[in-house]
Amino acid sequence: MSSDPVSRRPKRRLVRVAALALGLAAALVLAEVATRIALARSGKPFDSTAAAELVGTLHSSLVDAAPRVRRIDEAAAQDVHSQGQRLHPYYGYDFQGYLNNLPTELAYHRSPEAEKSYDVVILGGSVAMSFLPDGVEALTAALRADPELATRPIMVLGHGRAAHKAPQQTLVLQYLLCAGAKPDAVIALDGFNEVAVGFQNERQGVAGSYPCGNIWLNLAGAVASDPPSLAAAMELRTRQLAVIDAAEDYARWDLSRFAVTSWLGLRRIERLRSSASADALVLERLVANSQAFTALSGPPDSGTDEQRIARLVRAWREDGLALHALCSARGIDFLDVLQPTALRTGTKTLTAREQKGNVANESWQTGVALGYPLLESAGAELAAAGVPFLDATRVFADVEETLYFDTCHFNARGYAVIATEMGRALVAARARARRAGK
Amino acid sequence: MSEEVGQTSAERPRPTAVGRRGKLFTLALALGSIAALAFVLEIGARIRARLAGTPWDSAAARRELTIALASFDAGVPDDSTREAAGQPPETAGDARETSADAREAEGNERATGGLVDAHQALHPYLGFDDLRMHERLRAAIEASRSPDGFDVLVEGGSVAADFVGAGSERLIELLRAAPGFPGGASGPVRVWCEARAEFKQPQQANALACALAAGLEPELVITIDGFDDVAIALSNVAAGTHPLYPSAARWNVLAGNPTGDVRTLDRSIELRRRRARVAAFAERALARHVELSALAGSLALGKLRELRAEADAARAELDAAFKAFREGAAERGPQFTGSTDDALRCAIEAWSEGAISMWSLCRARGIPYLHVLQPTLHDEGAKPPSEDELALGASAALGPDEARDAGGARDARGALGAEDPRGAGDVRGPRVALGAEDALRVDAARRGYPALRAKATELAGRGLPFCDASRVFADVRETLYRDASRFDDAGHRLLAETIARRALEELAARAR
Repeated sequence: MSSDPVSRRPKRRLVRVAALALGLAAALVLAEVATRIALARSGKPFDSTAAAELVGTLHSSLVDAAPRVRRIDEAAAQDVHSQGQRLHPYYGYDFQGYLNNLPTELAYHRSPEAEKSYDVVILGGSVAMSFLPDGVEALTAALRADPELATRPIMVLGHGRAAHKAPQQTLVLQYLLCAGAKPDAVIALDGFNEVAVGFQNERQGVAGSYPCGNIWLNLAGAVASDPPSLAAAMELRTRQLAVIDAAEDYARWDLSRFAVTSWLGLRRIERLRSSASADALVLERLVANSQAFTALSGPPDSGTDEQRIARLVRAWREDGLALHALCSARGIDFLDVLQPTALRTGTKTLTAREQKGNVANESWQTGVALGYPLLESAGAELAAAGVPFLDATRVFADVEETLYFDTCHFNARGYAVIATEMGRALVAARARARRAGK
Repeated sequence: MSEEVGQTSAERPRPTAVGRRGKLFTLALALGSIAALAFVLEIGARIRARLAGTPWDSAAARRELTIALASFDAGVPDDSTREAAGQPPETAGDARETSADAREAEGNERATGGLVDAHQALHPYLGFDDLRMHERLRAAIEASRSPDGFDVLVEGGSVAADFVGAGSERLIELLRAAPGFPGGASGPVRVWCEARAEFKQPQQANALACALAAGLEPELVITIDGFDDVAIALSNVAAGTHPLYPSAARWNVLAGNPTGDVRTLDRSIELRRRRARVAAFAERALARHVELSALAGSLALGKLRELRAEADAARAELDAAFKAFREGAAERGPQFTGSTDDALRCAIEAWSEGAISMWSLCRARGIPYLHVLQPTLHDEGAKPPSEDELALGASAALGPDEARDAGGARDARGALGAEDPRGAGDVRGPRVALGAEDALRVDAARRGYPALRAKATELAGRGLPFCDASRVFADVRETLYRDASRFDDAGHRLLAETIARRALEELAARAR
């Protein structure tokens, strides 16, 4: 034992530093273990992959036009999904990617390849928008069961637009046909936005038949022409950018690796997202009081909730009839698909993750609760009127795994399931038409 | 712990007075050195500034900071806000559009029974609309659902709208007089107008789809169109807008809202952020009176200018985004690089597809449908022009011989595919000099109408109920036309007779 107190000092310091480091490490481990235990006890055990996907999907909802299940570091959204929304004279609004892509697509329709190929156009809202690429393979495989399509090239063309609803699907098709598109088949995958977004419009004082009020009013200038609304819109966007930054920080620092860092990162994102949601409500109220609102919100609707929903369902049924009429007149195959939603009780046993994501505002909940039974009946009426129809509300009834990541959007596995059913239904419709001597 | 190192606090050497003085001296020396250095640097900065010919002026520095604070403290600059609010700077084009709207207003007032452009607003599915049409459609829906009465819906552009006001009485009279008319000889017959000035396909088809989806249940649908479909296509192309898009003169003005685009909004936010940084920096610098020192002031001004340059760069990015927005596809549609022949082909294809859509929408609901090709003054052979009509430039539409007979000469123009009409402004008549807009209309009629008739024959061959009314005034020498496409009440009564005949045939065929 050294007796020189001076020579013992550095050693002691080293011991102290080591003890401090060990203590810190122990505290971190303890915090990690405690967080994991706490999460497990609250019924939400830590899942690194799920956490990264959750943040990625949230990021996608702010960056992509239609939200997708993805990690932030995965490939960027496709061009057609680019979130730049623009006014469109004939269906309210479009996405910059689609506008850019249209001349190429129309050139394709004029090409010899298009003559040989069986071209299927998918119409609808964001679920239809994300059908490409996730549902294409399963749809193509199912269509191969038709002897005429067994070897024929099949091309799936996406024309779903986030938040689109009747009559926008008819108007998109009408525009495409006027512009020179020559599809062989059209599938409308819709229903949810009609009653959820449509009813949200009604609650906001925007006509149910008008496009999604939040998007349309902004693009049409109700926000820009009203200084308080414009200031609120900039505030909201600033907060959304902060959420995007926080989500990207989460991915950059790989916070999903540890429960404690993931929990802290998610808390930060959630806090920012809550502020953004509050700002969105402020903006909504300001726009509703703006001068331009009356001119841009369409004919005012009245009536009870049930009457409003009945009108929205009628619009959906009329859209199905109109699409069928446009297609029949040109010899185009058509299929109308009523999409599933996690909000429709009894259509799927929701997993814990699905239950967590199945959160909607009051108008969406009411819209689906009142509207889906009517949509299902209206679908049966369409089928009775000779419109090829697939009620896909229960297409996930026997699937136990997680498919939904929110109220209506599902992952690639979900798309494979529904696309297969859509393909089978279209093949059956074609067979019926052949038998009828069409 | 202290015990462990073998020295108690009592045993530690206490600082002596000399030691304390030494430390104070060291501190004072350090401070003095810093002050001396700052002084030297300050002097150096002032000498350098003087040598550079710009002696340090603290008042000027304060002024620069104050100006920066004042001008950057606001949000987005004034002119951007103007753009953001959808009010593009006034241009010659705007003035022309305003004047065109003023001209149109008079016609619209008559056409729509008192509706004028003051009530025009963006419509999500029709491009633009008159707000009072909402109430009219609501009334039509209610009436059409009543058990009695025969409801006729008229779609199309301004001539169709005029027809409802001036020709519907004669139409009703003739329908009622016909034996077997489903509405009966004395039952109520209502003619509803869903036509709007300057509508062209697919606007008519969209208006019908929306009206039917909203619950309208008419017994007959009549579309009267053709002229705007070809004429607006050409004027759109001349204005740099896709021929399939709505009338550029109306749509482009209403649709210019750059902040609706998230990218311009993001750039506005970035500009606001950078401007706020300039303002905050200037405020801090002023509060600290950095202008009193040439050194600190110079450094602060350097930083201020750097921040201002960043804000300027953000401003330039925002301007570029606005420019890209204005040139983007939203208002002008997809880029159209074809000739005017291509534009006419595009318009005629859209007209044909729109007609098929309207027919199929009606057929699916069991509603009889009739598509009418409207007459127009400049369609060769459509009408022998009167003196007054020649004053409207009708001679430009005549063939060379006819024009010579009428006392003038013109450049002969062929049908679709013959010649690029962009030079049609040189078309000459004996009585008037045509403006570029008039020349486009003449050319659209001359080249577009033969193609429309050919396409209509094709459609009729597919079973589409069609009525070619383009020659309905072929034997009328009196003045009917008020401009290139719109005619007076006498003309509408004549048109009503042709339409009634054809509509009754269609109704009889449906009854069979």
